[in-house]
Parts: sequence; C-alpha cells; structure tokens
Amino acid sequence: MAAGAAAQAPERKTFELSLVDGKVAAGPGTVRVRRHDEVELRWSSDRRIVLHLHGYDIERTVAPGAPAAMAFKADIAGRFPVTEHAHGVARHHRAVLYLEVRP
Amino acid sequence: MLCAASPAAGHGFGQRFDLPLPLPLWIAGAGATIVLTFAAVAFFARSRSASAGYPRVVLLRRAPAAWIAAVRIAAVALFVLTLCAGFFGAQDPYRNLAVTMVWVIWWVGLAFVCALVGDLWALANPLAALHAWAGSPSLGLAYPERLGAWPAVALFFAFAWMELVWPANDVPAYLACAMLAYATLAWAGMALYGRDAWLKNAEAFSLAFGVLARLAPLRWNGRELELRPPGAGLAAAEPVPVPVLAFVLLMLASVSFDGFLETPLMERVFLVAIRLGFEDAQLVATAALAAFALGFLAAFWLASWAMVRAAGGGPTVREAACAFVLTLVPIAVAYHLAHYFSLLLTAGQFIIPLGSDPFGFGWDLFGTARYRVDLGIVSPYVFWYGAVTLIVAGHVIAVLAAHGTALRVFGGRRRALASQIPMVALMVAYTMLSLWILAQPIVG
Repeated sequence: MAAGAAAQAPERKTFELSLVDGKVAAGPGTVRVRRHDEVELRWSSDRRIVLHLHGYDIERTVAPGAPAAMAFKADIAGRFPVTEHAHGVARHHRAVLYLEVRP
Repeated sequence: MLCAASPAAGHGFGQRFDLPLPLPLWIAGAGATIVLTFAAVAFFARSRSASAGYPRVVLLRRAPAAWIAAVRIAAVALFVLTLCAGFFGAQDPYRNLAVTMVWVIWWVGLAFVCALVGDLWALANPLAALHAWAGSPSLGLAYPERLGAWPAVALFFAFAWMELVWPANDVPAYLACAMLAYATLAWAGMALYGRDAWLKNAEAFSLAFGVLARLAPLRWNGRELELRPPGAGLAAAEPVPVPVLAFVLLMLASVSFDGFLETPLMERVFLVAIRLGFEDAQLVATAALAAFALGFLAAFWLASWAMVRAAGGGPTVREAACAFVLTLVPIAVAYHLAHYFSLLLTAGQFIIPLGSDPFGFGWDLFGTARYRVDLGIVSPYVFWYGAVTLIVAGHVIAVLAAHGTALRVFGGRRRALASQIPMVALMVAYTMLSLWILAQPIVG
C-alpha cells in the first residue's frame, strides 16, 4: 500500500468555492484530494460566515468582498466536514462541504 | 483545540472522520460473507456431532478478592470524578473529562472490553459497589416477575435516545445530571427489591454489557474463571425470556441505527420529513430509532416463523425466537467494533490531556495537558481491511452459533439444517446492512 501512495507524486490542488446563503453555489458537495497534496480552498460568500474545517482545525471568516483561503498540506487521510461555526454550545449544522483525503 | 466546533449528529460525542469503504472492498466483503456462509452450511451438512458444551480451560478456581476490591474502588473513584467534573468543571465538552469518559471510554471502550475479554461491568459496576458498601439496604420486596426485564428495555431506549438523538448529550452538567438521576433510580430500585433483582431486570447496562460478554473468551461461571473460544457461549446459551429478546433486538437496532443516522439516505429521510411538515429533526430521529427497533423485531420474528416452518414444527415461533436471538449478537458486535475502533483510537486520545486537567481548570497533574490528538493514528487501510475482516468474522461466528443452537432446539441434523435457511438468510441481510452502512460517506 505504501508503494501505491508513493507512486503518485503530491500535487497542488486549488478549489474555488463560492457560497450563496451558506451553501456552495455550484459544483460538488465533496472535494477529493490525495494524501500529501497541497490543497487550497478559496472561499467567497454573499454573507459574513465563519467556516471551520474539522480535523485540520482551520477556521476562516469569509465576508462579501473579503474572500479567504484555507491552505494546507493534506497529511491526514479521512473525510472532513467544513461547517459554519456557531458560538456558545455549538449545535448540529449541515456541513457546507466535505473534504475527502484519500490514501 | 482540535475539532472544537459542533460534533456531528450520531454517536454522543467524538467525531468520526473515516472514509467510506471503497466499492471493491465492499463487494469483496459481501462475497466473502456469502462464500463462507455456504462453506459453513456445507460443513454442517457433513458433520455429525452436536455437542452442547464447549472446550474450556479453567484459569482461576476462586475469586481474587483483593483484585476485585481494587477494581471496584477504581470504578467508584472514576464515577465520582466524572460526576464532579460534569457538575463543577468547565462546560466545554472537549475540556471536561465527563463527556469523553462517558461516551468514548465507558460506552465504547467498555463495550470493547466486555465483548473481547469478559464482563468487566459486572465486576466493576460502581452503582452496585456503592450499594454494597452502604450495607446493601433493601426492603426485600418481591420483584414483580410479570415485569421481567421490561424496565431495562425502557431504560435502554431512553439511553439510546440520549446517545443518538439528545442534542445536549455533550454538555457536561446535563450529562452528570442524567448520570445522577440514573444512579438514584438504580439505588432506589436496589433498596426496594434487592440488588440482584434490580441488576437482573432493570439495570440496562448490566444487561447490555452482559449481552456483549456472551461473546467473550473469559467467563466467571460462579465458581471458576474459564477461558473458552469466542462465541462459544452463544450456542450453549439457554433460551432468553421475551423481554430480554426485546432488549437484545433493541440493542442491535440502536447499534446499526447509530451508523445509519450518518448516511446520505437518513439525510434524505430528514429532508422528506421536512417537506411533509415535520420540521423537528429530533422527533424524526426518535421516530426513526423506534421504527428501526420495530423493524428488527419484525424481521427477526418473521425469520423465526420461517425457521419453525422449514424445520416442520417442533418449538413454537416464540420459543425459537427466544432460543436464537443471541446468535445475532456477533454480527452487531462486529459492526460496533468496525464502526468505533478508529473513534476509540482518535477521540480516546482526549483522555490523555483530560487526565491531567479533568475539570478544564488549566491544571497539569501528570504533564500531559498539552497533548494534541493525532488523527493520523489509524490509516484508512487499517480501518478498511480491519472493518471488513471484523464483519466477516462476526458473521461466521453468528452462523456457527445459530447452527449449534439449531441442533439443540430442533434435534436431528436434517431438521436443524433445514431450519437454518431462513436464519442464515436473515444473518446475510444483517451483515450486508453493516457493510452497506460502512460504505456510505458520513454526512450529518
């Protein structure tokens, strides 16, 4: 299995994600990358929103006219939701996006 | 702090980041299940012997009293510490010991120990230990036998609802309140009817961990500690009473429902319910949990009916159902292990920093408070192959246990073999449900 992972060199992958009322306007609800890829999620939104990528634990505030990017090396394999962050005792929110990092 | 935002719906606490099973692996698992089922049936068709017992090795001939006392003291200390953390500690679920202790270490971790080693809860139960230390107060009323284990069924449904539906199950103080309420009820019950009657009929966790421990290799049989092959205790088991049958099926349903809650199909159920005017997700999830339990009951009753028909009579449908229900347990345990072993190894790591700072007050008792959880500890390959192996192995143990039970219940090899067609079909369907859930992307 290590050989299979090594055969594919890490790539740089960028995703443009534009939110309309907290939902990804176009494109799939899941983005897939391979482990060790350099990933950049570029967010724009029609309203102010705090986004949290679970697992990698990255938080960004996105607002109209103020896009933000999450850039990281995808070293942990798994399926990670991006959710809208709420304050206080956080409650269940539908994920905005899923990031799948495949081995 | 890692994943400090809302945990997803589903299990009480701790988030699973597992990738879905890849399609080829899912197909391989399903294929192996069917092939091994046929192989097992073919093997039975040739074998002649039907032994009621199982091979065993006696490890201890008397209870090690000092060790048992030590285990109970530790369990009571952890129980009190967890309650105190819940009531008086910081209310952030990731900084308070209570949430990780209850949902990850106790409910998931202890279930693993009971299924794979032996019934540790029966030994350590802090509610029973505290009652005993208080001098075993009891009014000695006769437990109403007509009730049987139905109180445990009701309490387990309430617990499953708390685990899977209750939105506040990760608020430390609420969790501590629930623990204290349950403990008070248990102590009141023990004071009314005596400890043994309450533990046997109404203490939901004694029943739940006891059911899991039927699979375990270690067993205290009252006089000695014995070692036996995993699953051997299932075929040799006596038929259970009807309320225990209901309890086992409810437990199996809640285990599968836990995974089902996070599938895209359940998400669609929520969306359809909203379109129909049922906006309250909790209500929909509660109804779905109840429907799952009733569905399991209906499917199992149907299979039991078909089993009696196929064997050409003998026991009644109810007797057959009560004799066979425990043979499904390995499939549920295998699913539970597959579903949770990565969670136990990732979310379980929270216990390392929490051990040094159980109240979230900023202490560092053992110098581990700054430990950061390593999510990469379980590779997806380990998860995928481990999960499929567990599920296929659980299925095989279940098929073997069911055959052993059939020989005992129906007598005669030919009738036992015929009776197993519907039961094995149900088991294959149940195993396929487990594999299907694991192949779904986690949403929610």
